[in-house]
Amino acid sequence: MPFFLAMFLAALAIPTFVAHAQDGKGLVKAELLADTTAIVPGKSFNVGIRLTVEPAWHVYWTNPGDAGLPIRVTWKLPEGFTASDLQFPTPIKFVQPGDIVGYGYEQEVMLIATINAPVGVKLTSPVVLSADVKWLVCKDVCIPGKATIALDLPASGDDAKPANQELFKTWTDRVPTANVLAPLVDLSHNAGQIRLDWSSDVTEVQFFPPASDDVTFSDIDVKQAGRTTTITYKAESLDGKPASLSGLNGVVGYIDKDNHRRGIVVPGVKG
Amino acid sequence: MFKTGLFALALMATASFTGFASAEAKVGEAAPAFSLQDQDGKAVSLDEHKGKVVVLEWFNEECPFVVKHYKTGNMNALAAKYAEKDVVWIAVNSSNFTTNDKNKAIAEKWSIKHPILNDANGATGKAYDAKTTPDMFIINKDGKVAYKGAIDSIKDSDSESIAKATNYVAKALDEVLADTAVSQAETKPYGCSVKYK
Repeated sequence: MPFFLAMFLAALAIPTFVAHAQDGKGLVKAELLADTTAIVPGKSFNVGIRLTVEPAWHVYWTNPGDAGLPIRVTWKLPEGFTASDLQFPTPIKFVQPGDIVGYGYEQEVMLIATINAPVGVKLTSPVVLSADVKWLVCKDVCIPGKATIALDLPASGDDAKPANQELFKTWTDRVPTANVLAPLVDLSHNAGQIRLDWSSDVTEVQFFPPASDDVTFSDIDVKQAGRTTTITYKAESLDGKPASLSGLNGVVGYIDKDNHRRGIVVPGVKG
Repeated sequence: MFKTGLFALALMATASFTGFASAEAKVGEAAPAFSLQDQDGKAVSLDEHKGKVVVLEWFNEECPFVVKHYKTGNMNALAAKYAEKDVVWIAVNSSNFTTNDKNKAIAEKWSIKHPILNDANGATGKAYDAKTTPDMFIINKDGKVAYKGAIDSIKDSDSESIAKATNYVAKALDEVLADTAVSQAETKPYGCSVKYK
């Protein structure tokens, strides 16, 4: 056998373990940011977990779709501090070969939570806020990553100033709103059908079903006619489990007339 | 402004229990037939295991969720445990980049004793509607799907999650082997997307 052929065959026999040799942390940069320069005792403020993702890779929304895992956050806060639920911005949809649908984010995402500072924060020492963040980042392969991110903020009586305002506005505006009055004239949700009548022109309307271990959403179809969107879907219970859509809020994502990605919360129909 | 009629709600609830027609492998229905090559190039079919309980495990050696169950020895231990009870364990690799040689190399590296079938064109994966790795299916002695879904209850790629999780496949297999009804015949699978071509 010629040497080069032997080398070629040997190369073929070596399994490629590129995927898990790579570090998911290198593909995603995680940061913790606050919308204030200082903590005021007894006041609340917002923090953002900002992930910057390598181009062409994606991380996942609360409902990752057919595969994947959502971004998970565990807060490590000083005594007396509490964090609200994380707010995930409206995701985008990606369809992979084999019609495997995923919901998540490319390039950049910021998850926002409101932190309540206790009245008794000492004004002498800085406060360290910290979070363990885990994600799955995927392209052709999926790689888990995690990071512990922290932020030092001085505790201050009164000289707190706003910080990172633009960033917080960008991502707060992209969190799906339950206040549907602004973008919509009317919303109805009956038997697997959602109808939305928009107050201005929108594009790229998509339905993002809620995360659920009990209910499977399928055959999602979105039809746009002028300023009316009709979304149909099938919601099935898994074998042996009673189905209820109670509390399962979906999200309708869209691009508004100013070319911004926005979302609205569509309350689940009670079972 | 929310025009959610009670009648519509009732309709929706009914629809949820009656299910919808589709091509995928369904619990209680005949498992789709297949004949694919294993890592040694030998044809393996579902038909040849008629009368036996068969486990199908969707496989991709590059997927961290699959890696988790092999690096900890969990998957091989499960396959060995149930092999003693005459259960046939088969991995199916529907990744577009899979080859018999790659499957042979990974079987050696991970000491996998069961066949890893080459489904590079994805036909079998799509017949079962496998969407993630590791999607798991249990086929009973009558050739019907008895379980489909996740391997266990904790959606995580960390090895530590295995010990804390309920293994749905082991639970369902015990019930199938005891001829009792499967208490949880379907769960939501989790993992990487199957890398179809």
